[in-house]
Amino acid sequence: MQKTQKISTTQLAIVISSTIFGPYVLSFPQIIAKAADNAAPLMTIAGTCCAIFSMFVFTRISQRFSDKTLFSYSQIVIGRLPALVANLLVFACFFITSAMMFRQFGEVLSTVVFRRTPIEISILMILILVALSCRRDTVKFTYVHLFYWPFVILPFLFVIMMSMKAVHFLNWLPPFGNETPHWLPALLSPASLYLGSFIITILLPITEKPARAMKAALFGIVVSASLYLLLVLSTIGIYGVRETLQLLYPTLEMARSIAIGGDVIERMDALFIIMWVINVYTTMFSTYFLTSLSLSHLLQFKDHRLVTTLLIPFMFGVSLLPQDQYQLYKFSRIADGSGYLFLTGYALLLWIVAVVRRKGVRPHG
Amino acid sequence: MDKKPWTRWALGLQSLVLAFILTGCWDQVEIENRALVLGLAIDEASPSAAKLEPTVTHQKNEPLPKKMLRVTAQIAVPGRVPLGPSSGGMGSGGDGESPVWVVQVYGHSLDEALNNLQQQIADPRYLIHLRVIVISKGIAQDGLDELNDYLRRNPEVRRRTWLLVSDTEAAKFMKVAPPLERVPTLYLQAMVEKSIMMGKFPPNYIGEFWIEESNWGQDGYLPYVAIEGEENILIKGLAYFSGGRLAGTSTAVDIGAFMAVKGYNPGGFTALIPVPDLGYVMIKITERHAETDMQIVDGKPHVNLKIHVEGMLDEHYDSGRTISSETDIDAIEEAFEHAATNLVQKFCTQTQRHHSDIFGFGEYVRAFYPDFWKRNIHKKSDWEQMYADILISVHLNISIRRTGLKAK
Repeated sequence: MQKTQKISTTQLAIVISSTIFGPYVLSFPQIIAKAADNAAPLMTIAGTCCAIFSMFVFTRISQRFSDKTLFSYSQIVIGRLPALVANLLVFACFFITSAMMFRQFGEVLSTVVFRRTPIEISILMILILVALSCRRDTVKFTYVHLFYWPFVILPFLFVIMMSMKAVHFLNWLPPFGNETPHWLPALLSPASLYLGSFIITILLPITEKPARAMKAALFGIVVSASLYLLLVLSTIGIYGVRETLQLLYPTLEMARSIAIGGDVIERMDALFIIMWVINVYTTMFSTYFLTSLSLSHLLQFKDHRLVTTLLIPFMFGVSLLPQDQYQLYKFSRIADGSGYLFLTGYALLLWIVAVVRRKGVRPHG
Repeated sequence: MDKKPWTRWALGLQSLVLAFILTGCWDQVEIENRALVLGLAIDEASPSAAKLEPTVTHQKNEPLPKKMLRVTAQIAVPGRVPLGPSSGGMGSGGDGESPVWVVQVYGHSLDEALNNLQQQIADPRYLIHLRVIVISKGIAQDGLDELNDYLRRNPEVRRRTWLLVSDTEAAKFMKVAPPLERVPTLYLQAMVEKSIMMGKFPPNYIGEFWIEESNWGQDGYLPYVAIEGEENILIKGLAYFSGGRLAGTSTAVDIGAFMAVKGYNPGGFTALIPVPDLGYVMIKITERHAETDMQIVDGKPHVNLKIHVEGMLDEHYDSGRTISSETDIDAIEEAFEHAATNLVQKFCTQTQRHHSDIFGFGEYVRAFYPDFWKRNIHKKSDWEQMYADILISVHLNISIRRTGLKAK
């Protein structure tokens, strides 16, 4: 890997925020409304706090070994074999979640825009696109994120702003919900949105000032989290919880119902989906990058490019496994939730062991 | 990269060409080859209509619900739908040919009927330009579950489509062709949308209706339309729902009462009222402001409506006296307040009698008294039951600011 070039703290923040703000934007309001009823905005904040905690752990442990990626330093901390097993799980986690996200992407396209295009083609297209981009090194990876970041954030801000006038304040009340939230899914589903923040464990070695990475990580999370929160607030505000439950992609419905300029421009959904593709692309880019990097470390390859290409057929195959939409969403929920728990637990373990065994250097020390 | 410049150019050109070739091939359909459905009218048909139905989606003797629908679709004829303002002369396609084609089919459900329709027309049907759906009163009384389900699932249908309830046969609406607009459904749509602009109807698209129907503390309502004479369309009132079924209809002036309670702007209704000693006056409402205050008194929701409207004097006749002083204005205001309070009160009582909370008072209870809500309301119909005997008090006042150009 090229080590001469480094990325700045701001760039790190942007990569994190564009990674986190992912394909789930379309369905997230419905998922959280189902789990938390009217308390959805509050639970989104609570879930974000969980994610910030995980992020804190990821960053702290990586800062102790600021010149290595997680895959290398885990071997120092807990020994070769346990690290191998754990990293295999990391690989599995990102492999499965990425495959599921590819499928979800295909499902949205097949349901809404390209109704006659075979879903295999939609999936294969984005898969090849992502895989090809992943053949670059980490610095170029950052630049791609940097370039697309405005396209990831702005369309959503635009849709939210345009639809804010239709918000009924009553729908936000009562803030603690009419029903008791289902705590576990209500916390896990927003928290697992931030799965991609794990990317910091491989980006830290190439950041200029690793000591300031915490700030960047926080900034990245806060930007995306506020967007997620705005999305939840606007969809719940416009549709109310009961109606949101009926919508598969509430955010898309929002884009579908805005009208601009005296109702001249209607049906922004096609345009919105195009921008969403970019959003999916950046997120998939990160998770695919993580997947291929972890696998190349497992196989002890020097270069992850070969693995990237080799992964394509497997990723494609797994993404086609779910038989229907319900199975797909059930799988993704389980994969994301357990992935989040595992990654946080793993990083926490590494951190504690590193502190106890005094491995690595203490940041700011 | 130290490739020769021409190789670069060639590669650049190749990627450009590829970009053109690789764009969506599967879903491309020329606009002339689409049957664009502009409007749908849905009537109930007698069970014997099952015989008229082609067997497209099921076998002949399948046990299916008795209920039958008759769907009348207005399909745009490509090339004949005038784009932009008609030039009124040559070349605007105005040779007496209708820009739309009206097709009638039968079916057990909307989707089935549309499938039967597809069997009869060559081009694939598209609902992307569906603007208006008219349903007959009978369909609304049977409940809109099936209809809503299909329209919600279909990504082609806009949330800004209009759903109208007609008091006569809905199919007639697909055939009336008022002279103001060339395409009948577009006239129907313009009719409702312009009345929103004039403050005569709340912006209640099908999407809004769905939201109201989904909320537990609220019921939906739709525009209630009728055909007057040969081809005049009239917005007759509100058709309000309870438990997903049509519960009743109101008069047009009740729309004004409803909009006053909800505080919709701009104000658009004009009221004719008798004022003691002053004869008859017409008051035009220009602005509405409303505040809903919800309280639980003795374990019962109590709604306090504070409505303020701004108005102006539009007409005054049938009395020897002229309106020339503040006291006269006060007298008119008082008479209006009395009449309007009465109207709002009566309309509220009417909806209570039909268990149809179109004002969404229940949502206030849900939002501000979650404990009370949780104790008493376990499903939507619980609130509909409770709504019937909540207390609603109306405080309405008006400020008349202007009296027009006439000095006396």
